[in-house]
Amino acid sequence: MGLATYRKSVSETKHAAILEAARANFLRDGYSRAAMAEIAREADVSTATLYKHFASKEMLFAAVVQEAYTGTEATILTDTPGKPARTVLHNIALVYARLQFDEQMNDLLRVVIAEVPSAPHLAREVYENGVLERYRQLQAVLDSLVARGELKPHDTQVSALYLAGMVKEFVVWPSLFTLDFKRSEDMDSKLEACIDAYLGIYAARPLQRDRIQENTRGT
Amino acid sequence: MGLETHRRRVSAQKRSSILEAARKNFLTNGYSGAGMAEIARDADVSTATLYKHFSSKEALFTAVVKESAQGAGDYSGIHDPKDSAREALHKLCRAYLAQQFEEDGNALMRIVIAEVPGAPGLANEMYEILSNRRNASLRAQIDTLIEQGKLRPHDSAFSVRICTGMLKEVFVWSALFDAGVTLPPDTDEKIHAIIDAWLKLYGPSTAA
Repeated sequence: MGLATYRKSVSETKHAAILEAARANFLRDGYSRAAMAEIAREADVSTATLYKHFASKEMLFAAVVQEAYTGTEATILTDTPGKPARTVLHNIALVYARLQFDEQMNDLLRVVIAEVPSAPHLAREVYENGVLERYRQLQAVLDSLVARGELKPHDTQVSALYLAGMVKEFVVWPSLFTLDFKRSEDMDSKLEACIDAYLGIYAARPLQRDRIQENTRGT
Repeated sequence: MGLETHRRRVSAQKRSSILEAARKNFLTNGYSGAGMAEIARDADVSTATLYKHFSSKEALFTAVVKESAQGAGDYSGIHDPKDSAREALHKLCRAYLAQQFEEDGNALMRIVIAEVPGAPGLANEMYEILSNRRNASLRAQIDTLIEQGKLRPHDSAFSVRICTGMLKEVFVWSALFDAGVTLPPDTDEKIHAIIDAWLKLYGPSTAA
C-alpha cells in the first residue's frame, strides 16, 4: 500500500470515527449542548483533525443526518421486479421501521425539531435533503409499480405522502413523544393494515379489495 | 356582589392572564428557556400568586397545552346531521388543522418533542391529549356517520389514524421542521383529495 493510499485510509477511518462519536453525542446531549472538543475526544482525534474534516458543528450535524438518510440501509427504497406490490411495500415499511427504531432515526428527528427555534436553517436543510429525498425515492417505487401494472395509474407524488403518513402515524408520531418508545407487538400487523389500506385505494386489481374489506372491517 | 364572588372572579382573571403569559413565554423561549419569574412579571402577578395557581413549570405547561387542546379534544357539534359524509369529514379535517395552525398546535408540539429527553412524563401526557384523546373524539364522529349509514361499517379506531396520518403528512409534518410553514392556498383541494382516498376504503358501498 502506497503512502497516499495509507493516508487516505487513515483519514477515512477518522472520518467515520468522528461521525459515530458525533451521532452519539448529539443523541445524548442535543445539538446545542454537544461540544466539538468532547466529540473529538470521544472519536480519539485532535480538535484540529476534527475541524479539518468538519469546519463547524453545524456541518458536522448535517453530515450525521445526511449519513442517517443516505447510509447503506437507507437506500433500500427500491422496487423488486416480479414481486407483488404488497410484498414490495411491506418490505419497505419493515426496513423503514427498523431505521426509525434500531438506528435511532426517531431520536435524531427529535434533536432536529428541538433546534427549529435556535437554528431554523438546520431543520429546513434536513427536511429538504432528507424528508423530500425520501418522498422522491418512494414515489419512484410507486411509479415503477404503476408501470408494472401493479397499481392503477394515479398521482404518485400525492399517494407517496399518503402512504408515508399512514405508516408514520404508527411508527414515527408516537415515538416522537415517547423516550425509548418500543415498537408494539402488533406493529407488523399495523404496517400490513396500512399497506392494505393503500392498496385498497390504488391497487390495479379489484380482487385485492375484497381482502382489504375483510381486514379493515374489524370485528 | 359578595366578597367571595369577587375573590373568585379576581382569581379566575389572574389564572387566565398567567396562562396567556405562559403560553407566549413557552412559544418564544421553549420549555427549558421559559422562566417562572418572567411569566409572573408578564402576567402582572407575584411569583407567590403564580405558584399558588401552578405548583411547577411542568404543571403550568401542561395547563397551557390542555387549554389549547380543549377545543381540539372535542369534535362533537362540528358537523350537522344533514351533512354528507364528505361535508362532515371536511369540517372535521378543517377543525383539526385550525387547531394545529391557528391555535399554535404545531409550535406546542415542537416544544414538547424538544423536551422529551428532559421531561418524558410531560411528553407522554401531551401525546395523550394531542393524539389519543383527539383521535377518540374523531372516532366518535366517524361512528356516528357509520350509524347514519353514511359510511360503511368498519374499524374506526384504525380508519381515524389513517385519516389523521395522511392529514399530518400533507400539512403538519413540514411544519415540525419550519416554524414559518402555514396552510397552503389549496388547502381545501388537498383535504378533499385525502377524503376521496379515504372514502374509497370506508365510503358507502354505492360510492365505491
